[in-house]
Amino acid sequence: MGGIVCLLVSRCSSEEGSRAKVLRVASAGEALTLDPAAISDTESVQVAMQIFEQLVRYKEGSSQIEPALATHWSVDRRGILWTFYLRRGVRFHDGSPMNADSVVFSLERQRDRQHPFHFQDFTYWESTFRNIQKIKKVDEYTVQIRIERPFAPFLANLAMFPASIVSPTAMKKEGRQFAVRPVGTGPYQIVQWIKGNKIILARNPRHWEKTPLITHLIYEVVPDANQRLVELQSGTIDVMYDLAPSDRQLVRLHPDLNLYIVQGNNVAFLAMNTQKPPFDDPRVRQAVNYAINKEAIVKLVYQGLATSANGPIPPNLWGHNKHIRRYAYNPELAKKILAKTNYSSLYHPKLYVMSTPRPYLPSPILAARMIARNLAEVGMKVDLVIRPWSEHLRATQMGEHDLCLSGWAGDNGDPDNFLFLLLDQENARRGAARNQAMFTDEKFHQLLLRGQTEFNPKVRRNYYYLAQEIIAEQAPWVPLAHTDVVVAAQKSVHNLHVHPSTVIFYRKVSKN
Amino acid sequence: MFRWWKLSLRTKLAITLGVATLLPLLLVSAVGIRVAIGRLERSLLIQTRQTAHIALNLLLRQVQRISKESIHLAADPELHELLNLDPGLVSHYLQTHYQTSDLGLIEVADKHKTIFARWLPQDQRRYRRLFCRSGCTASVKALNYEQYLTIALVGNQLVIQAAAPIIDATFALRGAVIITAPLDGQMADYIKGVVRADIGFLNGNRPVASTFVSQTGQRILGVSPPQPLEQSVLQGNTIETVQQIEDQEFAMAFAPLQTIQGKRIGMLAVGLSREGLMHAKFSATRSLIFGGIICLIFAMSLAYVIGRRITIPLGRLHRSTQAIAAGDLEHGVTAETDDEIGDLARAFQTMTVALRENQERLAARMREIMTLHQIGRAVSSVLSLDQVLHLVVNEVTNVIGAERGVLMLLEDNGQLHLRAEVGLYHSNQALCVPNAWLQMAEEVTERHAAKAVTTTLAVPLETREQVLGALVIARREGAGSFSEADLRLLMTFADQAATAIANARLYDEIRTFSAELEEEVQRRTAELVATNAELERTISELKQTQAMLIHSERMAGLGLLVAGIAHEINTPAGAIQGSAQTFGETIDRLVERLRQFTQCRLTPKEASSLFEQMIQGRRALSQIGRLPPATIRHRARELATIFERYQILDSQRLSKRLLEAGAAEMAESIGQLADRVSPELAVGIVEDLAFLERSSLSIQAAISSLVRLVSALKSYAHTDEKGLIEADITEGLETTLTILHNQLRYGITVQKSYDPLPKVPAYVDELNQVWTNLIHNSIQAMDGKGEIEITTFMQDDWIGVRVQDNGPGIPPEIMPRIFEPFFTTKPSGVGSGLGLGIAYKIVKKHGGKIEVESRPNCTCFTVLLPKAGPQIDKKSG
Repeated sequence: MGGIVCLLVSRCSSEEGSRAKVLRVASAGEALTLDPAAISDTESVQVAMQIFEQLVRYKEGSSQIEPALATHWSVDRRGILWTFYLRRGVRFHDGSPMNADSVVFSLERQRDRQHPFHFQDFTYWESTFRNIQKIKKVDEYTVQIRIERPFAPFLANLAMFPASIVSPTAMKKEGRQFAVRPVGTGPYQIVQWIKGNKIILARNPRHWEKTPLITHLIYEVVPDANQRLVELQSGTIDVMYDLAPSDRQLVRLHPDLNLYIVQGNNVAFLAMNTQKPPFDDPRVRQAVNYAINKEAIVKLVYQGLATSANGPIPPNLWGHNKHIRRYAYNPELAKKILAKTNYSSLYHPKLYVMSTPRPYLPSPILAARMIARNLAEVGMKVDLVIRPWSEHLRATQMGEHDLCLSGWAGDNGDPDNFLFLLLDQENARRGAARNQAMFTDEKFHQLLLRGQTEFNPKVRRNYYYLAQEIIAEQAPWVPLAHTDVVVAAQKSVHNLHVHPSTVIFYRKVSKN
Repeated sequence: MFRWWKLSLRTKLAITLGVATLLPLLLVSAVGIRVAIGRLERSLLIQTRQTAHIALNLLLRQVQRISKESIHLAADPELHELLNLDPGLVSHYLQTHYQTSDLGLIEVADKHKTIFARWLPQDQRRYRRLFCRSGCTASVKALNYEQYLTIALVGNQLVIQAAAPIIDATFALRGAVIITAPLDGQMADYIKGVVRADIGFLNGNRPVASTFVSQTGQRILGVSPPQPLEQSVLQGNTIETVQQIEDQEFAMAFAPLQTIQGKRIGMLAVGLSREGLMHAKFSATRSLIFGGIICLIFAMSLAYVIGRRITIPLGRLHRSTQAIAAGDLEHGVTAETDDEIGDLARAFQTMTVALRENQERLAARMREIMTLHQIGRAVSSVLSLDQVLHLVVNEVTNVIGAERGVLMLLEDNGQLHLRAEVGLYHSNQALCVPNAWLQMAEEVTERHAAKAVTTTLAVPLETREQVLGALVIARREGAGSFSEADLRLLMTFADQAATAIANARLYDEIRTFSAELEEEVQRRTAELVATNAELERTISELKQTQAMLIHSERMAGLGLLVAGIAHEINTPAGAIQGSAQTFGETIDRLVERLRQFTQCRLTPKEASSLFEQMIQGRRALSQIGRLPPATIRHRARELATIFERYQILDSQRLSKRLLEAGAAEMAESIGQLADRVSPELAVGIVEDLAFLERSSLSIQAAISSLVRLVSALKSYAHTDEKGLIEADITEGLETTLTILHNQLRYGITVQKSYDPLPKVPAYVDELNQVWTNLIHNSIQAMDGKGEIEITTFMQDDWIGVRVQDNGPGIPPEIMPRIFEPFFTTKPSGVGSGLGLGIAYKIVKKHGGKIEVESRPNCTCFTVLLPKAGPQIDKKSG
């Protein structure tokens, strides 16, 4: 009889376990911060987008905008005064109500440097939202945002993670610790963040939309690619980011695993520090462009799951100019050009490389080695500086490097998001320089500004065409590849859609 | 033959207890074992599935190892160097490096996809079939910079194949390394060595290699999954099942094997033996059976012993019961034990005693009831009061066991009077009621309560309303006093007796009353018969009266008609008569005058001219009288002037006469001839002629009036045409108006507004009667003065006739009744009240409707007739 009782108990407990649906997501790197204003890396975005919501969001599988925390909105005739009408009855995870005050707080703390909750590391505001002049509460559920000048990608920008609406109550209570204990309105809320190990999220039962099916989301950090694969094979984890290219075929051979490949909205590039010799000379930069065999890199590093890049804008994004100058692999020409410059082969430029695979660059070290080899062939020996991602990012944003491998996963589906953020002089400030080439060009800058104020898509596209031609000539980068976003997951996980920005929205995901 | 009900209680108990103990035990154990085994089986299947998972991962780990090795080899700088120096040395290089490796077949292709170096592990047979041909897929992929890896089919053999491009330090493509390892028995053995389970490979659904061994120790290929599950595996699912391999049961799991393109080309099978499980099952069943048998024996023995202890005292009890049933209430039962059976025996004993007592009490009670019943019957059957009283006293003394008893009733004077007795002393032929009894009787009747004094009992006789008397009984001195039960019984008797006495009295009353009643009924019946006869006579008289009334209404209508017609005829007839009477006198006078005229001396010419003028003057007669009096006076003066001119005397009178005769033109001629013909004479002749002329005209008019009347009569009555004919409604109305002319002409204006109507089939004379009745009704309603408007019109399929008057109107309260026969508002004798009723009937007969609307000054009857005629008649006829 005792045996029967035991069996019944064990049965119950096993069913209990199946009722709590836990989904484990493993990536190579850990999120750096969960304060949406301070985020600059994709891992952080992947987590933060579960916790926070914005006024508007992208429709699933497209770059069209749909209502989120704002149910509808309007813009005045001049295109500078936007009015947002907020969804009523939404509450933050801490129970405080989401209203006009919270929207004003979330944006104002980034805009106003004197704001008690303005911290130093807000990288995005400067680059993306600087044109916001005033955020005004009209009534409890209406907010008006005045922008400096008509800015075409403004609404799309508001769907990005820095525009997340945070709980003022929690922020006031936590202060800087908000980055570790974030409170938003999203479908998941934070339970615990064990630094260096995992972030545990639990389903938000009061979410205004349909309650998610997955009860717990656990983001784990598994730096070793082999280990991640083993865990995926054994079923310890359900979703895996940063699959090593050589392992993709194994996933394909595994009957219990699925490989999700989505054309990415990203670019990987070799940035040359245009503020430092020898790369302040455009000819040197052009020579480097000729010296590098991108095709081999794409085949070997990306295992063919990418396209070699000619410019900063991915081919599948509108505004991509395919008629710009191309630098075909030509080491002889590179040598000739270099010879004309005052570059001395005695100077060994430092090539900064991240040790962590990035969504846009799966094996950075291998890529770096191949680049180094290519450059050596034309007489430029480089030293590799290999660092973990966060350190790499900090160093390159400070402008310490001569050359650096970097990349960008676009977030708002707008060419402006690539060109302005990664190459405009406004983003070349040391310390928060997303423009790692520290590239400055007044004509380019003017073109981008016009692109931002123009609402006619055709005219805008022309501005971006011209801007891309300038980049091709000035060659601040060696554009390497636009990679596909690859995620491996258990077959038992259903309804998984990987956004081109690498974010997975778990609202509808289920697991059996 | 086994008969359960014939078994002793002891045996039944034993069997029942045995079964009752054993069955649940067996059931619970069996279910428990089943659940446990089921759980074990499931966990075994799950384990198999997990093992398959592990085996698959292990296989893929092997795949990865081969892939890594190919990449590693392709990146080997030594190999690059050898390729530069002499490709021929590559084979040697492979041999020295991979001598001890069991990785698989290693091949190297050059840039042109030609295999130029190859190394096979020692077991060469295993690999010979796997050689890549030049230009095979793996080499093509690798030479396109790709690190290729797949599970594929080479011939019939499932293999793992990895290929990597050889890229030297200058990133120049130099060739490709291809490593191929077969998924065969040896690979299966390798996996089995790790996961401790039998492994098999299937090409599609066909087993190609396995670690399963037959009973004779020979390796067998393995098994295919059952048909329905096969598709599921090839669709990418891992399934588990139970299968028999060489008399041994295995829990099997099948996982798909797929190529790099995702095409499922085979399966990995994993088998865990179920031998242990089967053994556990067998042991459990065996222990269950043995345990069951032991339990059964034990339970039955125990039940037998307990059964004995119960059944023996029960048997004793049974015997006692039988004795009691047989009537032996003295048979006792002894209680030997203190348990429930002892309690039962004691209770049984008590019950027997109680039974005995009850039986005795019952017998006594029975006797009393019998007596009561007898009295009751006697009382209800005997209705004479004295008989009842005697019966009561007799029975009471008898039942209660008293020697003496008296029954006394209260008389009207309030004194108690002895009515019945038993055992009283007779002294001097008179009955002696002891004084004490009398006192008691008076006391109880006054107090309405029983009284007992030693051997005497007295109770009042009372019904609900009143006290009737008292009953007193007594026993001999020393015979013992009366008990409470006796008193109760006596009171019951007293009640019965009182009721009986009341009944008997009532019966007497009723009998008297009944006789009276019967007499009364007979008298009333006779009266009723007489009344009835009278009633019948009245009804028959009434019927006669009604018939007479209807007849007289018809006569009245006819009379009305005849009176009218007579008047119509009288008027012209009078005129004719009048004219005819004066005719002769006038002619005589004219002849005399003409004779005088011939004596005048006139030339023939003058005479003829004068006569011509006279004849012409007659023609002008019609105009006389139509002239206004002023004109007549003027003309008379003119004529008088003419006459005076010829000095004719009496000119004034003559001129007037002449003018009245209508021969004013003759004045000149008469004047001219005045000397020869006396103007008096001439005017006289003219007058006579004019008179004759007028009379003839008058007679003509009277005759034509008569002709018209006759024709109208003919039309009205239609005496020559009975039944339905095509009738002209307008003509009928006109005829009716002609006939009623007499009544209409004094004070009634008739307005007619006729629409042209088609002829309709109708009973003309009857319809005329309708019009007559409606118009007559109006005339009467208006009291002969007023306006009648008759309108005909067409309305859809109907023809309508509306008769409207401006009389006082029909009061609303009688409106619903106006079409009832004999309903009238006219003073008695003026109308029969049948008029509108008849009209209604006739209209109905024509399939039409009659409607009435009335308000003061406007009453309007509308008759609507179908154009098609009376439909119902046609159908029925």
